Amino acid sequence: MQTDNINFQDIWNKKSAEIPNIKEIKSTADKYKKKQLRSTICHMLSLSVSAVMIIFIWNVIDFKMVTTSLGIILILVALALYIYLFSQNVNVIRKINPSTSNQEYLASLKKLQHQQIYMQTKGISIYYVLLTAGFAFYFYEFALRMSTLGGILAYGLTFLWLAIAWFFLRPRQIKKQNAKISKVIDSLELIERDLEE
Amino acid sequence: MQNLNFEEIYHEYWKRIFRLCMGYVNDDELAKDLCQETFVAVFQQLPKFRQESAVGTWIYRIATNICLRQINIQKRMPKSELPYQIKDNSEQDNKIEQDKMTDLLYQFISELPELERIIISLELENMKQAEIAEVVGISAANARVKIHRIKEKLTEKFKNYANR
Repeated sequence: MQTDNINFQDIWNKKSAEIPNIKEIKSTADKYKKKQLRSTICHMLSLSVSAVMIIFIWNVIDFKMVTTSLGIILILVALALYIYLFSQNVNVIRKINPSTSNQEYLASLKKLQHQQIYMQTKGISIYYVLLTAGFAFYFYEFALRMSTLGGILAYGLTFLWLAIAWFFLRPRQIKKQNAKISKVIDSLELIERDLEE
Repeated sequence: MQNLNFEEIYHEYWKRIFRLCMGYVNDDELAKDLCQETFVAVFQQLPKFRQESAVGTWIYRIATNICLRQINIQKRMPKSELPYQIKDNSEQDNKIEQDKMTDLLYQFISELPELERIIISLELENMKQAEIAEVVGISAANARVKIHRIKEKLTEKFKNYANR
């Protein structure tokens, strides 16, 4: 094989392939649009369902104490937040404008990743706080009707479980989410370093 | 202002973008997918394109960014697991020399760091160094230095291959 003065351009241009039908592009663009719409509808739906349930509970079920309803509402808000957090990273990357320079694009990718880490970390913590507060309020009415021991037991067990969730499950969840994102950030930084050289 | 027609752009640029993506991933199917993603983005963004830069620069920016975006969408593959198309040496021997050189060139380019793959692909597409600098976001002088360095690297790879 001759390796002196290789004309790279010549051999580069030899690579060819059939141009696919242009219709594929238009139908794919259409598909993305529909997918986007579907995910928006899903968000709206899950939020509306939570809202309707809150209103329903507030009006229809007649608990003696307002704390019970408040508890249920907080739990529902926590669930809605959970759904939101875990559906939010779908397709978010497509929203970055791709017609900037590579350098700017890499910077926006990195910014997005940092934002996601922030959202996930804060979001998961807020979820647990809401859930804990929700359970605390919810149990109050029932605990009053129980014996002292029963009340302590009910609260104790609930909070034991929540403490386990807060101190063991939450850090693990956050770690798992962040590990994925951090890996991407590392690769992005590696590429950026090549820019500066 | 020239009137931009998606169909014309598609036919004028598809092969060039395909080669660029091939240089990036060295995998026909994946390159076609990236190509498709690029033109979907071009199709969506075309009405918003203000022609502040040349159409070519604009399309190459989109294509290269979509290649870079791979990092997020799919799990980054360790380099050793990249789906090289050249695996079977016996098959290779049957190919005529030029085809083999082409395959090797794309393989060697895809082994380079991400930005170098982009820079050399644009250079081989006969793009001006100032435009390459504009796509990547570096200075023209830096682009020139990098192109020179990458070509040396590629020549080195060919030499090593021939002498193995």
